[in-house]
Amino acid sequence: MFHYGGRHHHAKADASVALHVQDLVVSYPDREERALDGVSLDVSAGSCLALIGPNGSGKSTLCKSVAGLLRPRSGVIRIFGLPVGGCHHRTAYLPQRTEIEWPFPVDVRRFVLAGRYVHRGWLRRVTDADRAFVSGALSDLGLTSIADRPIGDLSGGQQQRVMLARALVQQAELLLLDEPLNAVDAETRDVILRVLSRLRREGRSVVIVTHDPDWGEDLFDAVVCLQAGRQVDVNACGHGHAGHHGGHRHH
Amino acid sequence: MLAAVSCSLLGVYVVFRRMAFVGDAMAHTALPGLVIAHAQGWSLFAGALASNAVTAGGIAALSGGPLRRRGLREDTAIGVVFTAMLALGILLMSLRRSFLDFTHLLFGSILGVGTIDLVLLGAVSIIVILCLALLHKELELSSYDPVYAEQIGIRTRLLRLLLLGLLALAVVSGIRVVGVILTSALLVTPAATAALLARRLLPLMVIATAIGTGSMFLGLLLSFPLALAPGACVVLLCAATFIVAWAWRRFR
Repeated sequence: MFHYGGRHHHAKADASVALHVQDLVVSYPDREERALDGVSLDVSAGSCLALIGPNGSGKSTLCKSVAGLLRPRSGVIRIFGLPVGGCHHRTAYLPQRTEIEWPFPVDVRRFVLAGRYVHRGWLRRVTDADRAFVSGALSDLGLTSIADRPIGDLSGGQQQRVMLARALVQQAELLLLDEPLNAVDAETRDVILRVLSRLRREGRSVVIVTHDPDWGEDLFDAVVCLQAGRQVDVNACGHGHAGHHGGHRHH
Repeated sequence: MLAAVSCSLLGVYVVFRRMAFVGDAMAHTALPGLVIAHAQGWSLFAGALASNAVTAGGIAALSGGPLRRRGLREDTAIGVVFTAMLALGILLMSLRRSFLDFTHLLFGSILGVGTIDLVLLGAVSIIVILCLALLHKELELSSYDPVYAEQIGIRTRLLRLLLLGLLALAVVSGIRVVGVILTSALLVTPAATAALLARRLLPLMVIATAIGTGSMFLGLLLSFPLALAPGACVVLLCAATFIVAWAWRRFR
């Protein structure tokens, strides 16, 4: 009765397909054209999918729909066989950093602790076990030394790591990462890549939005390319992407 | 003092969620309700609350739904509704042909607070403290990361409505002491001062409440022997604390 969203966590209905999307159509109320137009894809459990395509092609929209932040106009989304919202704790969405109000007075440790809230729910306090999870994730991501700093003091790379730490303590089985390597420092890049390969070894499923599919070729099991809300051939897309952005984004 | 507790605690959210304009609007829109209640001899508290409910409904109707697509943002809607309500209040006052009766509404009157008022002020404080304590982690999370809160199933719109409701209660209790015009200072100034001195939510709330209640106590204490307007004394003390804190940060 304390669970967020008023629903109990369901048992896994189908463990083999982490994410199943079929004929997904999403449109924003104030725009004519569809943000997503008939997208279908599957992410099998334990695999990693890269989502590429130019700005405005619908990559973030797809993530937000799966995360339950946007209501699709039509189509099917199943996460481990359940509809969106049937298992809040199983999905973790890392939005682009700009979506967070960084000046808010909260420190890194408490920010990461919020990843445990979904396991507690209304009116229930976090436990010592939750705090232990947080300490573990902070040290995994090289954040222990800044654990007591306000989140407003962090660099871009540190912000990205703090958000990833929160997703880790949530113990989500499907992670949706929206441009995790966009404009981060080399240290953060290495830490994130290390964590991603560990997640894969642990059998978690990951969807990564990226401008640049080259950096993780050995990490990705599949690549899906979006253009103007539709799936297009990956090779054609990679070509267009290079022309669009004129090269690599990371340092 | 009770009013200061409610206002200072909520003020922290008001400052960090950038709701200062809403808080100010709520204080001003209470005026027509206050005037009618005063003229009819009804409870001022109820009058102000009813007035705020009308405003909230008006803002929701204007800023939600089809009009939003035409570019009417929430702050614009607030601007339209709150000035209209304020004007209505002034019109009602002028009907009574004497503004003098109403100065205590505009500028507050601590002396006019009776037993029933005290009970109501206490009840408001308890409701505010209870809600903030019980929903602390959800309110905090949805303030700095509404997207994540929404994703794990927290209804951030409902939390916002709750916060607005609490704000309405706190504002109405503030009006009793410092009046319609100065109430938003009770919300904003102690929290803004605390923001200079602390960088975590709980200490911020403690400091803001200490500054709010301290200014309230000293302000009232000073105003009686010197025959000064009590509300103005309280607000000026809050502002003085802010300046001291700012100078301390600046020249430390």
